[in-house]
Amino acid sequence: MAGKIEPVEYFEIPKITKKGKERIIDWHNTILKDEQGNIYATLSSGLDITERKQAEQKLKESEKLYKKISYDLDIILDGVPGLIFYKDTENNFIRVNKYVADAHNMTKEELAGKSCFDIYPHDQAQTYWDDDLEVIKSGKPKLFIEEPWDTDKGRRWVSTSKIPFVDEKGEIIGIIGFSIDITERKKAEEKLKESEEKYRVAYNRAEFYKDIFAHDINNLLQNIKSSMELLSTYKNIPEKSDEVNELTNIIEEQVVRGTKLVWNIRKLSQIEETESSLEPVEIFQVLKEAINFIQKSYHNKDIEIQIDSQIKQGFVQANGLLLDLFENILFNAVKHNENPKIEISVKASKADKDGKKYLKFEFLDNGIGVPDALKEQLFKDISSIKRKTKGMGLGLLLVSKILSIYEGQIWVEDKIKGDSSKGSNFIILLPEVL
Amino acid sequence: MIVEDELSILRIYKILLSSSGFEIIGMAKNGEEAVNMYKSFLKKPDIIIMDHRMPVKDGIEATREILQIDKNTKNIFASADITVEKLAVSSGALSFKIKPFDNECLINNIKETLGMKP
Repeated sequence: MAGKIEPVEYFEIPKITKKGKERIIDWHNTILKDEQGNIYATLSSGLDITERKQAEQKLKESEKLYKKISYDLDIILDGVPGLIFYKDTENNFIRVNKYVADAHNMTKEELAGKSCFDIYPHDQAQTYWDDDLEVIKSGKPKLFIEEPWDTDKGRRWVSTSKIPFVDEKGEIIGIIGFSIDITERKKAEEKLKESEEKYRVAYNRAEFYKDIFAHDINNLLQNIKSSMELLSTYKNIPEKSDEVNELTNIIEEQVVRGTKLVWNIRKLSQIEETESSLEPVEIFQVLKEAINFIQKSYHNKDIEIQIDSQIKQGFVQANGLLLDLFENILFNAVKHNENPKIEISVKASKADKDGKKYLKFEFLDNGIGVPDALKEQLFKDISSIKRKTKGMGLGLLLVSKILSIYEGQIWVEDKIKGDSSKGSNFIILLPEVL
Repeated sequence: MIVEDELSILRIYKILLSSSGFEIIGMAKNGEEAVNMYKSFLKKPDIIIMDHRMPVKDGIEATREILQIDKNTKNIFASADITVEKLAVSSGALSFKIKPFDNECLINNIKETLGMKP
């Protein structure tokens, strides 16, 4: 086979065998030339490549199918409005969908191979990993885990389900996770909870006011009714003139109390419904106004109210409710007093408490006093609980609410220490405007 | 004996009961004071007019404690709180007057309880 060999002619042609089956033959034709370049022979060889061709075809189809499945899977995974991820048993992402990648400002390829600990704060990553391990160890799905998810755009909430990722041998090689963003649902739930809470508070408050109002109004009506009935019996009996006077006074007092009750209810709803804006107010002026109001309201009672103070002027951050505060404390002192002469002394002084400057007002009366057992519960906000025993009436409830707006304080002591029956001393502190 | 925290009602009871021929041997302004007062009496009252909603100790609690001292104590509830009527009766109150009531109605009730002619 000396001499130059021309390039091989190569082709594949189908051939039908004697048994009628088609085979693919791979033909190689070579031209043989002598030294002068004359063709002196041809060399042909045929190789049956039917199986190889079939295998190649199957591989091509398989690759095509794989590409299509992979493409379809990407389309499906990326189109799902949720986070889908596969992770290996070492906590590394194998594959994520576009949603996960976008949420982390990374590409899908960048996320592959990363661990949760590379992406999330340690505690959060540990929680995710603990769930993964539970699924990997138990081989059982863990479904609908509601958990926070901190992103660049703030905290969101997801409901995650994790199932074991099993290979063809049935071995667990990781987990497949699927999370749905439930932030909007969570927000709606939160709003609903807040709204329910507001409704509950409002309902309790309304019930509380209704209860006090009904109770107090019925007591007022009882006083008026009984007094009127007795008055009609005594009106023409001269020797009953003292009783007639007393019963008339009782009726007048009930009118004052009723008016005050309605006024306080209105003020309480005002406080709860509107924001208060405060400004410096001269407090002694308001105190004197309140004293005048009480004396006018109870013109038939012998009431002496004195201001005992070295200070003649002082300013506090307040509003129109300051008058209600003083009126209610004084009103309370008159209401709970059975002496023929009601004596109230208002002592004013300056006080320091916890590094803050206050104006201190002490209302000392000669009334029936406040028993020790009642002193502590007197100013507790009991609007959210059912009243079993009587504590603070609406007047003191209003006082307490006004003081919380003014950042003031109130408590009650015995006028004479250790003897609660000799009158009380209601003490209030109001932050002084310097 | 009268147990009532409302001073004006106490004043009215005083006038009403005295004019109806009853003697008031004690007036307490809350349940605790009532129990202590009851214990201190050498001669126990024939009847107690009891309010319910009072500071420190309510009327029902006071009634229970007084009945433990003497189970034959006669007790009429007079309250503006209708929600406690059943509880008051089951706690030993012989009757329950819901405020506002007629004076005559209370006096008749007291007389009936004491076995007197109305």
